[in-house]
Amino acid sequence: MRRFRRHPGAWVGSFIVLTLVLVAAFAPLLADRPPTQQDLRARLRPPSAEQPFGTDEFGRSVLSRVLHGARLSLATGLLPVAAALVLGSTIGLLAGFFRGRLDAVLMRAMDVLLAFPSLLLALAVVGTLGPGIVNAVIAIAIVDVPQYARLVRSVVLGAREEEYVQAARALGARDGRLMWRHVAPNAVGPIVVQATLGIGFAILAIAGLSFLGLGVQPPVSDWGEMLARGRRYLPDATWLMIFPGLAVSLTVLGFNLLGDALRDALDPKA
Amino acid sequence: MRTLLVALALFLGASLAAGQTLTTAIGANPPTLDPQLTFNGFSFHVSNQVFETLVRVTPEGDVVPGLATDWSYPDPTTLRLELREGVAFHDGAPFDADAVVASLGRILDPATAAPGRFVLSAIQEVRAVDARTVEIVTDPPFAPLLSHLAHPVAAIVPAALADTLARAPVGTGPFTFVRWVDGSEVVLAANADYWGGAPAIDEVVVRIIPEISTQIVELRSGGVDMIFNVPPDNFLTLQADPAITTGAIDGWSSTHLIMNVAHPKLADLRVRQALAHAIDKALITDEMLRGLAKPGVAPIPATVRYAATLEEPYPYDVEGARALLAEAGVADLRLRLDLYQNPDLEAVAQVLQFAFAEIGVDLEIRVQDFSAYTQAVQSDDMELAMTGWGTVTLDADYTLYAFFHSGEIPGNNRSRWADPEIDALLQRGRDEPDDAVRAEVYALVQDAAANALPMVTLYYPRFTFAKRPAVQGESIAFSWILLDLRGATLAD
Repeated sequence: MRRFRRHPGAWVGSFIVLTLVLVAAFAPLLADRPPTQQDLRARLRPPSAEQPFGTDEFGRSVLSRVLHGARLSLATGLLPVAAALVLGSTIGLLAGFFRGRLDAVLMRAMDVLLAFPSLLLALAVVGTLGPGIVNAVIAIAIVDVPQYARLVRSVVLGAREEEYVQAARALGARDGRLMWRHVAPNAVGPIVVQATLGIGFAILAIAGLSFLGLGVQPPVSDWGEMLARGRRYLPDATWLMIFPGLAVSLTVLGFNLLGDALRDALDPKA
Repeated sequence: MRTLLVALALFLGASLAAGQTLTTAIGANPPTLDPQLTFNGFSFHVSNQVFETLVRVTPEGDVVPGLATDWSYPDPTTLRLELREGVAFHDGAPFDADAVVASLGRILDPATAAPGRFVLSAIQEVRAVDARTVEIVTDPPFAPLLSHLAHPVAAIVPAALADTLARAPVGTGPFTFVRWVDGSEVVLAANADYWGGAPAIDEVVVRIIPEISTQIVELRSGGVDMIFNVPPDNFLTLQADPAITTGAIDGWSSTHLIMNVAHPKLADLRVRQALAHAIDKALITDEMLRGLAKPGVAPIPATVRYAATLEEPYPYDVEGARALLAEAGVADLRLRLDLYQNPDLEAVAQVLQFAFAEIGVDLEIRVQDFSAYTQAVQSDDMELAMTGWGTVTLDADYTLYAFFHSGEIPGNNRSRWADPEIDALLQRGRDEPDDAVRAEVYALVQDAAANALPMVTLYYPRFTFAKRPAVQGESIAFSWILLDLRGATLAD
């Protein structure tokens, strides 16, 4: 913990992530009007005192849409990571602990998923399930599963040979108890690091899918969708892309800094 | 020094010999270049440079000679056309009455599975009277036949080359096909033997550039000479640019909100009236579309023959809309709007979404690719759909018959509006050669449609283009697919 606190990235990362959480929680209070409120008579207005982030092609407040976008981005960053973490860790734990044929089958399945570039796989999944934010989250979760499975398996493979585990087994501990009480806790550190870094990736991937029109559907706003729409007005209305673009970059930076700091802090060899 | 001069001279000589190349940009790769096997604007934009129709449409809307020089009606069911002399296909094959019979025979043959077959399906028989005369028989009479012969699908193709036209088009037009690099460009060369005289431009390159913003950058940097269908916001920016010439003309297009009157949610006229009252058409055309569209009432724009001038029966009135919904006993109405991928239509759909929310109607927008959209709107559970439409023949029959005849359900009549009186009027308009009677018949149909609301005609978009000022002498009739480059020159 001391090592974490001394890490410069930890402070910056924590600050950004905390700000993001607060913004997401209080978006309706911070925004001057609902993100879907149109005013066609005030379209494409540049940033001003009244509208700090300007207005979009429907005269909607870009500030309000960026703030509300934080909610969705946070949720769509956390959800697939949580789902992938649970599923992937379970697979890795079972494979690493029991070895043998189960290990081979599970890990070959993971290899198949890893064989595809991640965004391409996500595209294929959304293509099959149909566009929409729920399906996008499912797609990113599926893409993420192998990472956790492999990570946990490698930790488990080492841990199950440790002397204290052997001792517990000799004392008559059953498989389930061995797995959960003695082996699994070893994986917590690496998983936390991986998940923190994974949130950044997930937010970016969801934004990418929304950018391609496969994620959120109108009138819900999300940073990726804002970037996609703003692209059409790029030479004239730069504010349509600058603000959601900054929001995505800062968020991903925040989670990555936090993840790096956690990894350094939890790395026993450092 | 001397070598430099020689090199310069050679360079200049080479560039002179290369001649003038006009480069246009379009947004998608054409699926085919065979005009009979498609109903796609990207295909027509290119195929119309290579192929020709028997008659053509001028920017004023007049039907003028094309491959046919003269025509007459010996009786109401027979159209006799005199064919142009001294015309040959690009491969040297002669253009004559047999070629016309074979070409029209190909598109009418159900085995060809031509998507545009319906345009000519009124034709019973095409016969060669002699080498320069053909007769086209329609029974019952089909008044708008001549306009239909100007449609791009009615282009005269060499039927002998039917299997290869899609990738290597051979027509009679002012430009011959050179090469097509998929997703990149189609290159055409001037036809030196063109019957109207060789075009001044030596080469036409149609570049395929999906992003409109990229097209604009290319136009400004000189990589492209002409672009089409510029979205309103971009159009206004280009209009302010002294290095670019822009044009906006009243086209043949209309944009509709189609309502399925057979659906339980929309069967009550008051519900449809409420939706119509919720839409501020002028706000959409003036602000969203920056004045590059006119608010619509009649289903067809004023450029189309027999278009009616109607008073708006359901002007923007939010209170009135809410009252109508209350009167109809409808609360918590949730509707789905089907749409195909098109940034401009999607934007207008979002405006409708907000407008309907104001009267308490929740609108879900479902955007799909075109084939999925087509399937969705032909299914009975379609509720609302938005579509852009072009009255390509510039005759009211083309659109009104397709949209409102009960025989067109669900193919084109997606409102499922079935009214025997309307059917009778539409049939009368087809049978009747007299202009005044046709105008009267179509006025009745348009008035009935504007009131009964099988659809809300949102607006008539103007056709826009932008070009480098060096491009002169081109002519555009109503739409980019009827770009005529025969008289075009490049000034610099």
